[in-house]
Amino acid sequence: MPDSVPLTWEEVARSYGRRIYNFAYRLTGNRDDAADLTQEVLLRVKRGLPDYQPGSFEGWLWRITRNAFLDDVRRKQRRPTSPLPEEVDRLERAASPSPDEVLASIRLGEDVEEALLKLPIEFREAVVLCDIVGLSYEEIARAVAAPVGTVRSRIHRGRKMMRDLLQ
Amino acid sequence: MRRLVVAVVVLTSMAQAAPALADDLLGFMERASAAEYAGEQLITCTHPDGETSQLLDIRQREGTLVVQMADETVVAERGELASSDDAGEVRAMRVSSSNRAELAGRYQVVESGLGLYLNRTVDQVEVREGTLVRARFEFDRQTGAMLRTEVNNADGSTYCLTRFLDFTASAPDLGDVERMTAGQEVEVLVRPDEVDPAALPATLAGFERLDVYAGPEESVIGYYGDGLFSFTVLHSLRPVSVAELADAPPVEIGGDRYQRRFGPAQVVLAWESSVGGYAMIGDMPLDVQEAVLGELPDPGRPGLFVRWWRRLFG
Amino acid sequence: MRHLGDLLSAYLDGETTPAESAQVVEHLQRCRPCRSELDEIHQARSTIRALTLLEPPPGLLPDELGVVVPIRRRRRWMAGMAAAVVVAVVGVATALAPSDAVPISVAQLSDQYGARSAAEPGVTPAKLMVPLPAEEAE
Repeated sequence: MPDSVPLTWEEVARSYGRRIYNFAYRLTGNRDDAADLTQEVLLRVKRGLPDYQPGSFEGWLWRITRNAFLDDVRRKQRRPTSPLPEEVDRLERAASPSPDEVLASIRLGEDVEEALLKLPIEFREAVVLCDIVGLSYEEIARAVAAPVGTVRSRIHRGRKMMRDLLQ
Repeated sequence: MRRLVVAVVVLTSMAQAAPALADDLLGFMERASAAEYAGEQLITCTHPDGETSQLLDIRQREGTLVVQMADETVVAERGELASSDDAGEVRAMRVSSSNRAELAGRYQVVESGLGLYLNRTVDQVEVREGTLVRARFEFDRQTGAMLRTEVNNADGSTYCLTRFLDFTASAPDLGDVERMTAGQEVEVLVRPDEVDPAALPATLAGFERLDVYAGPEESVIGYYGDGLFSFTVLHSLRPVSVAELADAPPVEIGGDRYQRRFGPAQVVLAWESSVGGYAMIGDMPLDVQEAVLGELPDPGRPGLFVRWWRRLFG
Repeated sequence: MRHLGDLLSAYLDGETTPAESAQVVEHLQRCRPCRSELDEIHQARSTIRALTLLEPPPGLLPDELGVVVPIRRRRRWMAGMAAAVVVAVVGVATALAPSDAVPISVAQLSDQYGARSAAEPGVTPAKLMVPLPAEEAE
């Protein structure tokens, strides 16, 4: 859906800043990193706005956010705080909790936050963009440069992993 | 011991499988209105245009019902309704009166026994019309909530099936409902001082006209009920244009052409008659829709809507 | 019988086509494992959505005056745009309608019907919703 972009950089910051910060926080799991990332994103928005072609503004914005995150990860030369893709299946299979785990399963926000950070990045970003940022599948597909079918599958698998981790 | 319990249950069910008073249905309904619960409900309706289904997130507490679906949130209390779309637009409406519909004489209420639904004990209540089971309700024993509802057409086929997919029997958190409704401008529908008695008939296909309201631009809105189903008719001496029905292909009902669209458990119709425009919305099954239309003025100039919209939008 | 898999999440998110929704509904009626999976996914989704939104540290963003975009309301930005477009279309229809026609929207009719129905005991949620088919909202 084409949109008009009457936005200035300040308007983008005011309108989307809080969401960018929350997305960044759920990706990094750390408030300082989230603040740095938010700043970096706003800087890139400021630089990119003059060349922005009307299209999907949110797709554009979240792609910038995600790329800034990935660049940061690469720069720090560390892997995202998540298992490697091969470990995903194992994670999914680790379903039956011990009685102790059941007893301890009071779902505080912290447990959920931790579980979310355990998801491999591609699943985490899809789930966060859907359930926390509130984008449509199509917007997410644009943001992560993947087909909608892939997004659908990542969101579903991401939620299943969350279920298993929180059980 | 177990066998004894079973026997007792069967006896109880048999004892209940007798015609009950129409008042009993009202009693069940009132209890359902006061129930406190949260859950996810799936509505599926089968109609000539195919199937319409909708998943709803429902919470009810202290007489306030909050329904959420894809891009809309609705909050209802007796006679009041506020809905908010995703863009944050809130519409609120209040009706000024409510005459209660008596259950029409053609219906017979039968408490058909106890059952299980979602592992919960339910009271099964049937509303029969002659040999036809017109509607079947399953009310949760513990809370009184309406867990499952089936509405049938005259030929016995099911029109709509409404059931919870999950159900939690406890007072839910209604969220920021207050914030949604606070400070909103409420459109209040009032009963006009004078209504042309000919504008809307007092009865229609066994439905009673319960209230008449002043609609937009001197139109008249009538609300009809038969104690089981209900519908609203809007009539204007001028043509009525319902934007969302513009591209709905005209359908033939009883030999006349109407604009029609089905939503989850509701139908919307519009047509132009020789005495003005009509629009209708209601939850009655297919044959009852036809019966009601049959008693309202027919579409006088078939194809008018089509010509009209073509003139407007090329 | 093939199970629904990721169609379930898409269904919960209102991201299925009408044909897919019909398939999901039909399948759910006869498949218990898929019903439990739907419940579990729904629970996981609710848990994630219940996470607190954090306030950015002071000074990170320009003053919070002016535009405020509501954060993560139940639906998506796209759907919001769709709603805005529907409103715009109604507006255009109203403006263009012949002067002798009464322009009304399904939402108006439906609100009246819903409010009046809510005045009676045992109102079903279905009576309260604006009855536009799913594809209208996309």
